[in-house]
Amino acid sequence: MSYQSLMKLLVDAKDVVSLMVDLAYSALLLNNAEIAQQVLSLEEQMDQIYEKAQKLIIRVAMEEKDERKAVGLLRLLEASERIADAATRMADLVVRGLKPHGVYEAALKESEEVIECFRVERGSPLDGKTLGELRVQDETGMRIIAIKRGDHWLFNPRGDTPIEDGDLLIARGFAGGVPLLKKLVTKG
Amino acid sequence: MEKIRPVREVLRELKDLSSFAIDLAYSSLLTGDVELAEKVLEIEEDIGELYRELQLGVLMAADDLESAKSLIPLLSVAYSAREIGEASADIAKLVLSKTIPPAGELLEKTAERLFCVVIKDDSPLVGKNLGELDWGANVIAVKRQRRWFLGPEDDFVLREGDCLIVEAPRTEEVKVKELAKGEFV
Repeated sequence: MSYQSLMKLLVDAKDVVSLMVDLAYSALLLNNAEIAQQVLSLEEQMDQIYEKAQKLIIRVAMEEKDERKAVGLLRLLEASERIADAATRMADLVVRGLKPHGVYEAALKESEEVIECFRVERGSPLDGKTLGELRVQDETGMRIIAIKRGDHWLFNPRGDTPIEDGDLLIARGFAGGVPLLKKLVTKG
Repeated sequence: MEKIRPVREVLRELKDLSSFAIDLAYSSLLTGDVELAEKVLEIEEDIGELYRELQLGVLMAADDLESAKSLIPLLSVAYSAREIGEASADIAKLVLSKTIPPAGELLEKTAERLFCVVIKDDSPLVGKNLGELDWGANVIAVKRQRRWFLGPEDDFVLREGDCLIVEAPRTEEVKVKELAKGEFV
């Protein structure tokens, strides 16, 4: 039982670190400190996962008396942590205003895939609706890959996920779709 | 003389490949797919070379103290990308050494999986472009000799020897592999 909840936690760690890396690169690409801040927020999430997972790994090792597997799992956790650290360092550059030589923004084209954050305003078209109801992906070409509500993160939301005002949507798509999605989260 | 590519281009490849390495590494972990894990190690090497190329480009671009200072963050980004590649390779090595059993139960929920196939010379796929294929699979990357093509477009024409990273429902996996080998009737 512990093993299964542990694997679930490690898969969650995957979602967190992949998003951190994608957000960090986007923050650099767009020179956007708000996106970079989300990387730092996810790092806290990762820290919590790290602590929980460490304890579970020790429990699994004791239950199954399998030291080799436990060492492997610790290495896996360590690798995820390293990826999270690398993403954090990149985000930190943006937060500190050290933009890398203007190489990034200059390279951004309409056809470029970006990740952006969108805050849902009260009374906006998406407020109180689900992603499916407004066919967000079809209409804007942007896919919502995560939602942050308060301190809570939800990864890979489904079409029937209700959206509330104050939600922070993390969306991936072509730069051309950004204004379209912006419209859906802004009070008209 | 060795030709230096624009830093921007190298950086973009570093970004795309390091992000891709994470996906492949965790996918191989879920399924215990050894071939996929080996690809991650290849990517780690490719990232190492890009890292070196970027270092050279940055050194060449600095012509005074001010420009050198403004280039430091670039090196930092490249270093982070290399870290990501190395950490992904560490994950892949756990798969190769069979230290961690694949998370089978979790996989049942995800109907799609990633795997790699190499196009053999008598495969009916040779000379076809990706848009022509109607095989229920999504090609997310192609490695041709030393070069990766991530997210190839519909007009990408397949050649013998191409290594495809494919995302497909588990039910389609055998069919896709047979097509690539040319054994499909």
